[in-house]
Amino acid sequence: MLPQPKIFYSISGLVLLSGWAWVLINLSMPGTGFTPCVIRNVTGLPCPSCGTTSSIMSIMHGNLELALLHNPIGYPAMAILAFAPVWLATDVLFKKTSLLQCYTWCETKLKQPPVLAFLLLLLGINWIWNLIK
Amino acid sequence: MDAQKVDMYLISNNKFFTPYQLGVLRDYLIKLDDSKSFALHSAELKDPTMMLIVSIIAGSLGIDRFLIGDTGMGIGKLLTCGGLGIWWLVDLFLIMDRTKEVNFNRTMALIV
Repeated sequence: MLPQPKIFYSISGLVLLSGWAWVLINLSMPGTGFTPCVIRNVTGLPCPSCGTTSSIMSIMHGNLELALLHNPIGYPAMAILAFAPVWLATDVLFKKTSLLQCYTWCETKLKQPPVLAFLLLLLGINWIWNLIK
Repeated sequence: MDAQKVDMYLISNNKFFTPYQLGVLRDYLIKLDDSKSFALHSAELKDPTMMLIVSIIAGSLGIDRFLIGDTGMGIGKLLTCGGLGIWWLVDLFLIMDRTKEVNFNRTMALIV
């Protein structure tokens, strides 16, 4: 079922805005040690995406190797944070739905068991690495 | 379908739908051909309460969204530590209604 364009664009806008707010908070107040991750706060163990903020901070400071060591998810996250707001704004301005179509296409692909299994395998490996490092 | 059969089906499955959806379903099921009743019973319905429990325990990994078929949102939650914990919290309030909506859509897809 396709999401309603208005709801999709509102939620995506809110998610991107929160993402940028979080990045800016971390840029202005580095090293507070606070993590919003529920899993880490409850169990003390990192989740698959723990370290993404540090990774994005490293990318912003030009340290790409350190970003990889923090969490490789930082690269796609940074790319999404950089390009998705422009894409979203263009769609809203010109009354298009290309971002929604792209999301729907990606979701359809992700629903294919081999694609989903491969992605979850990658995330699983990343989680194991996150747990041991 | 027989009105008694429809009511029995709705009584035994009422936890999977909202009261409004039950009313709509009843109208459709009354008009439904008996040959389609097997398909109706084979519909894979998710328990909203179970989804809430999954959402509390593993919601920040997006598993709740994966289970109801919202793969894109599941990946989104998984890659953002449950949307920095906010999405996880918001989903605790949304997941039961969303599960009922998914159940309703699945059932409608089988009978319409």
